[in-house]
Amino acid sequence: MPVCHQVFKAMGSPCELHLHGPDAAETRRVAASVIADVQRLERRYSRYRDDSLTSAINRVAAVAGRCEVDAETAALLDYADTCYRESDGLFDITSGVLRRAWTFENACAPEPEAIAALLDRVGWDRVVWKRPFLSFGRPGMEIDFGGIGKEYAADRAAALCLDAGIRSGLINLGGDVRVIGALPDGDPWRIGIRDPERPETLLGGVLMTGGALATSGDYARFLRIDGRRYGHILDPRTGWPVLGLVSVSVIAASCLVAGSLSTIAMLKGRAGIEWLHSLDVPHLWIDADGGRGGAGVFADLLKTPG
Amino acid sequence: MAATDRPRSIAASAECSDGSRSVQIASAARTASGGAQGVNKTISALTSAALALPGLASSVQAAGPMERQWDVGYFHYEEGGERMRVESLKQSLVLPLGDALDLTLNAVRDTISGASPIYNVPEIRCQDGRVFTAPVISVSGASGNAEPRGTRPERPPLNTGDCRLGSARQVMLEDTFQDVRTAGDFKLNYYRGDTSLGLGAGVSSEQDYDSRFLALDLRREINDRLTTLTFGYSLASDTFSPLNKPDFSGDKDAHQILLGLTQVLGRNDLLQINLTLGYDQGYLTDPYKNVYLLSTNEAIDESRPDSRRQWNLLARYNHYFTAFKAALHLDYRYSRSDWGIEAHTLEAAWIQPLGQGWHLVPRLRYYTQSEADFYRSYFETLPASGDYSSDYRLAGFGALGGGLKLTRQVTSQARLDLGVEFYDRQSAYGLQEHTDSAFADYGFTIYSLNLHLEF
Repeated sequence: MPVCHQVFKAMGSPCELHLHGPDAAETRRVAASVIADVQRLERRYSRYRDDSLTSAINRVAAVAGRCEVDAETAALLDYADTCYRESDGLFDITSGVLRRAWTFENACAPEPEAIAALLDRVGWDRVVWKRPFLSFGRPGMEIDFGGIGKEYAADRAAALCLDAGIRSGLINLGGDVRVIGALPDGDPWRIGIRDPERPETLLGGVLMTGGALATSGDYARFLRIDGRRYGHILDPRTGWPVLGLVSVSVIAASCLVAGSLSTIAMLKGRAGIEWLHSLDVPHLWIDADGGRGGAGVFADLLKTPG
Repeated sequence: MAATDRPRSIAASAECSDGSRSVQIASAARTASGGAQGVNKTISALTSAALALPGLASSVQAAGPMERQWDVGYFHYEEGGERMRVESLKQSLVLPLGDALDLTLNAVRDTISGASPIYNVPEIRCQDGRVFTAPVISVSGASGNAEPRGTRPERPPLNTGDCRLGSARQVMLEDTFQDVRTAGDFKLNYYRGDTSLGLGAGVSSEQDYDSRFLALDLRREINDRLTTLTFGYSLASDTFSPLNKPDFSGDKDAHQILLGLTQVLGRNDLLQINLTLGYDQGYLTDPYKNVYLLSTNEAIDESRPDSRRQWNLLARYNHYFTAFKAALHLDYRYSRSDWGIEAHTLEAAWIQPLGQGWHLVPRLRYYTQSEADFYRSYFETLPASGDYSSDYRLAGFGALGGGLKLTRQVTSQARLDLGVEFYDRQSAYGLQEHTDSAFADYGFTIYSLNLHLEF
């Protein structure tokens, strides 16, 4: 079965595509359409691009205005709203503005006044979302699809492949992985999990024949304040980086769900461990002290050394 | 002569024809995709919101035409004690026809041989130690010369205190026949969004039995494809031309209506409820079965009502154990007919992947039924109702069954199944009150080999 392997860069991350299709030319065409769609979403939702829709919305947000959004953005906002509710307000697409207080290069905490001022501009509950209208309750607010966009792109890529008849494939958008079926010979895909202690090596691999794997956390970027290790994910209630976990990986049917679960677990700090356990999803957590745990395939992975 | 006791098709004895296979596939697909819907409220809320995003709903696949595949199987069915044997060859071809249609073609050829019971006679035990098996002067019906005809033999007088009736024994129609059943059917499925429509028809032919059937079913997925509703209707029209009755043939029509509900309860759980209503009308008597009459010391043709109403309930629960990567299927069936037979079946199967493409499926089943209103092991005199049968299948009994199937996915396109199944019927296993029919206890074994190819 012809294989199409493409490596590309999108959404600020290295991405790759492995597709097995019955016909080489057709498979390449599918790969090209998948990459085009990922790039379309990046153009649309990147907060780093002035011409993106996100930037346009944020210009309205800056003046506490109101705007009308299209159906795709509306569905993303609905999804963000669900995340907010399901995480008791921890997962908040308006929390990005807090990043201004935290520069992870210098190892000192910002002034409490600075955080308080920013917190005033944070809160999904200060936004009125009534499809298709989005109104901001305070000036200076911002939204950010950072925790959703890449995962949505991976799920869409998988849907495009399935619609085009691809029954075996792997989509990796900067570590958010979506798998379609098994390899053509029936073997599962083997997805490597990076060891946070030694980022150049792998902790091991998990086998997948479907579904998605997403990881939140960035063990390479952290702050040490008063001897405590803080990650770079910010708690929208305190304005402080979350304490406790430095990395969470989750396997779910879709990349969006896997990504949201791993992010919410990170935001919950150590309470995220119990929460993940109660969800009964395969997961892996690594805490600030180097402790690890997990369930499902990850439990097996932790058992086998190396 | 195939119309006697053997199961109408081996598949029917091994598994019911209530669409359970398609449900297993559906649940496997959901499990394989990592579980589309969470039993957990958070996961289901996130999943529903994710599926509302443009383009993503199709990632949970709608029901659509099946992949091209070909199955060929060999089955060997063997009853204990020199009774029935069936060798069966089966083929099945599935062809997708475009985006919205698929066609399934099935063909079966069974070769049947062996003996089957015709009726039961009681033993007469006397105080002086003599044991008489009540002799029979004529066997009306059966084509084989089971017992000699002639003058009425002597029999000790009963109920005088010296001699009394003991247990019964079966009189067998000896191993004198061989029959071949050839059957073919097709099924066309049409898929449109959340709805699919199936149309099927088939014929089956034996020396003495012809059957034609037509079946329609409608399936609809609702509630984000978590719920499937099924409606089905089938009509079979059969003609029996018994070999022992040259100038006679009997017709039978069997109607069946199925209402089904399949509900995905969560990432790992699935519940299915099927209700089947059946109405048979026409010649329902088995022309090869007799009853023994004690008063006249003769065997005469049995006679059954010319209609039967039946209803069945199937409740099935599938659970996927993440820790074992294995699935448990639990089935309970209840059936009741206006012939007075009430039956319960409890069945459990465990589907265990062993890695490297191997699967092991152990299965255990318990069955118990009450006896038909017009069943007796033998009759003193003919009952006034005009309905009487001594067919052991209408007796009260219980049965234990089980099996083991080993499956090997050889390549992504080829799978090999190897199965063995046993069945042990015992009068004593029956839970409901019934007259003892231990003389009819028997068992069978099925060996099967199946090759499945996707191409």
